[in-house]
Amino acid sequence: MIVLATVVVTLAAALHIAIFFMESVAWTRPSVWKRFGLRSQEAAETTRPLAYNQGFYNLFLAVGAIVGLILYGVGQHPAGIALIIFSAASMLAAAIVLVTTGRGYLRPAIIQGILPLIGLMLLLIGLVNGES
Amino acid sequence: MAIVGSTLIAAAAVVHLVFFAMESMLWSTPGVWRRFGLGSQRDADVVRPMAYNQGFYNLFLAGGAVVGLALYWTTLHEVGFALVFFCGVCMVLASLVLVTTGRRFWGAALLQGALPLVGLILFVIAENG
Repeated sequence: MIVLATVVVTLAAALHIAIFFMESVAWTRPSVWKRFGLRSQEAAETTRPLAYNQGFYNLFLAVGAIVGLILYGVGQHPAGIALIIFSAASMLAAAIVLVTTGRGYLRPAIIQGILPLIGLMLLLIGLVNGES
Repeated sequence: MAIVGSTLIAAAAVVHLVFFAMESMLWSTPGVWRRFGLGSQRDADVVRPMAYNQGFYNLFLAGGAVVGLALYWTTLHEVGFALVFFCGVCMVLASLVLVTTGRRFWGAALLQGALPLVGLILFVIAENG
């Protein structure tokens, strides 16, 4: 179960690196800001500094998950699992916050949250069954 | 060293809780959005959904640091250190990103980054001492 969890968490990290790229690098492209519910280039410019910063928070969560996976892989199981759980739980919580932002945010929230949710569940099932 | 480091990390967590309150709860107050470099209520409304979400990322970092401190001083010393270290590094890096956003954000970056930076240094010295 934990091996499967590491695969799913890796995918969740890859997705958050993609979100980082969209928010912090490619934000002013119409194809990007439209995905985030914005309606005009002007709105994209207004939100740009915040999007730039928020993208990095997503990058940090991805890096936290990857460092956790590496620590787990080299035998530092408790610290590795702690970082994986914290990073995946933060991704999932961020997706739940997205749902509460307003109408129209359900779809992006499911995209952001489904992988960390599955990864966390597999990890916890593995831990409960005595894997370490 | 670890005690002073813990105090500074706890203070950094409080700063991040204040950021959460400003971004996610008090955003529409002019006194708040002006601090974040916005020029009008209209701009603040455009940015609002994004500020609401970003505030929670600060809340998560604060929560991770506090849980890490609690574990560090109780049963799971190494797990606690890993969480404190990760959340502290994220706070410092987020403040560096703020520096690269523009000159007007330097004050906010210093407020966000100084406490976790010094706290982290003391923590690492304590772990290796």
